[in-house]
Amino acid sequence: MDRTKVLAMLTVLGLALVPVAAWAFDEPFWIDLFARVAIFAIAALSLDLILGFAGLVSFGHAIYMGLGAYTVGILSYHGITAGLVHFPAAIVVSALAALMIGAISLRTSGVFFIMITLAFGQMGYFLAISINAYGGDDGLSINRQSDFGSLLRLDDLHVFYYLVIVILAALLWLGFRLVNSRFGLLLQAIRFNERRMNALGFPTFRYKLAAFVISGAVCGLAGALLANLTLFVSPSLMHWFRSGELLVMVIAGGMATLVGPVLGAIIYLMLEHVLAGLTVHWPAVLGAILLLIVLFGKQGLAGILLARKKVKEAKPHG
Amino acid sequence: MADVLLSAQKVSKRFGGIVASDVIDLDVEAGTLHAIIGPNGAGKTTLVAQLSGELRLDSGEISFAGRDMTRLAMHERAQAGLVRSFQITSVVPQLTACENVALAVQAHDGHSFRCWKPARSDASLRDPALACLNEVGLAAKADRLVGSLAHGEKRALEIAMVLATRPKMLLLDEPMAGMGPEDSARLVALLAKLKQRFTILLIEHDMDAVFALADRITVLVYGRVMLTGSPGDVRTDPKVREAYLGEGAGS
Ligand SMILES: Nc1ncnc2c1ncn2[C@@H]1O[C@H](COP(=O)(O)OP(=O)(O)OP(=O)(O)O)[C@@H](O)[C@H]1O
Ligand SMILES: [Mg+2]
Repeated sequence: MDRTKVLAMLTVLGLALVPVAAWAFDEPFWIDLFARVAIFAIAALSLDLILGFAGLVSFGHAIYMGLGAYTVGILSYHGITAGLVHFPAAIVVSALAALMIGAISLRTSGVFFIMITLAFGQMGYFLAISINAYGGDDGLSINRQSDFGSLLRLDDLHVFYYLVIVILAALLWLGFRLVNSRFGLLLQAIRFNERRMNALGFPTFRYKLAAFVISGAVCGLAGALLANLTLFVSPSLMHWFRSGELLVMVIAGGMATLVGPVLGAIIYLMLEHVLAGLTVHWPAVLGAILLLIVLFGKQGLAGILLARKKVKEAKPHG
Repeated sequence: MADVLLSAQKVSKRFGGIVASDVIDLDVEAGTLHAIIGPNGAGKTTLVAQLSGELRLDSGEISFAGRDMTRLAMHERAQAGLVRSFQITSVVPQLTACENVALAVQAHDGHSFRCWKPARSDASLRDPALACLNEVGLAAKADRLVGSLAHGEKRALEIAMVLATRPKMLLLDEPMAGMGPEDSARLVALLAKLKQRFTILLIEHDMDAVFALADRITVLVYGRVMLTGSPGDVRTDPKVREAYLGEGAGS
């Protein structure tokens, strides 16, 4: 098995042991912190599919997280509590939004693509602020977690935590399958030489759009999970700053590695937590540390941890 | 007379003040190798870009296999069987030679939304890809990253990728560009074999290669067709000798 997958398994295993450590050190808050970490890891993972593999710098990815979260919030507000409605609805809403946003923004590239996705993200943010029925600027509280009956009680933090970890693990596994499949290889080839893929007969737009929609849908799922963790949704979920954070997680963690963004989410949120307790200047310190990570390894944290991989790649394989 | 497979009528293209294609008429008969020659900047690559759909025509029409292609996108023309190669090598250096060609196989067989089965070990991609690599003499380099291949090998890969799409017609833009004499000779031999199976439009500077391979030759100068004829016609035409071949050339 290749080293990236081993690293992914170790990372998931580490996350799965957090509740044990929280109990051993009597720090129950850790579970809450790492549930958040794992949810952002899912969002960053979804961004890696289009950023790392397809080379699409989406600067508005937080909108899908926001849409997923708001779907849960708004359904709950109207008295619909069934998890089997919440989660599929969150995924469908964010997939549809990604379809619409992708259909427009993928007609551009480079800086224009970044600006258009940013603009759509901000549109989501301002839309959420302006709808007073759902709390507007103040956000919207959710009464209770999505209802899956007595089988899966999301109000039990341990149950919820392991649900998130299982989803993260499953998505990593699906992700590894996808990026090595026909579709995945084509995405990577499009990233490196779209013109040639076009000349070979690929309608490249369609494939990029499909990746964009998958990515948005998975990010929407992360949003639905986040709403269940915090029981609160607010426009700030969709602010461009959030989209920037997701980009930083992917880039610092290691693009096009799948496990990298998970590590990126862990590092980013842990540093934020620790540094925020130490100094009010934490964003500057955090920025400096992330800069160092990126400077030291081109492939971010995953690149540093998998440093030996380069040597292996240079040799022919088959 | 054989059927015309590819036909361009009154094709024009301007870049600002430069007329890169000036009312070009071109008919390529099925089963022939038709060469286009012309000095640097004559508009040969521009014509290939228009035929393949990468560049829109300012005016004119293009039909292929009896179908009007004028408004089809590049990928649609490729799927119809009109596939180009590039004068400046255009491959995916970050992937292996076999992966590059397998993508071309995939482009033809049309199941690229599959996202479960590992593509690298898929025999339905790898076998035809290896066959194409073998045909251009690259089988031994199948699993090498393309970025690490020599220039001549990348040029061969260009052709292997076109072949793997199972085209009806090849548009080859200076396949010998930058090659040494040995690689060139090998490529001429390959093209001589390929012309038995495919209709080929060959852009080429190497006159010996052109006269050895071509059934018909079009001479392009400043975006205009100066002459279309048999190699013999072209060789002896005084205007061509003056404009392009130079005194005493073409022997
Ligand atoms: N995208 C472009 N924008 C502006 N001018 C262009 C463009 N592409 C080509 N030209 C100009 O059009 C003319 C024809 O160029 P083209 O590349 O088609 O020539 P060519 O016959 O392929 O030359 P070569 O033998 O050097 O490959 C040249 O004068 C070139 O500078
Ligand atoms: Mg040219």
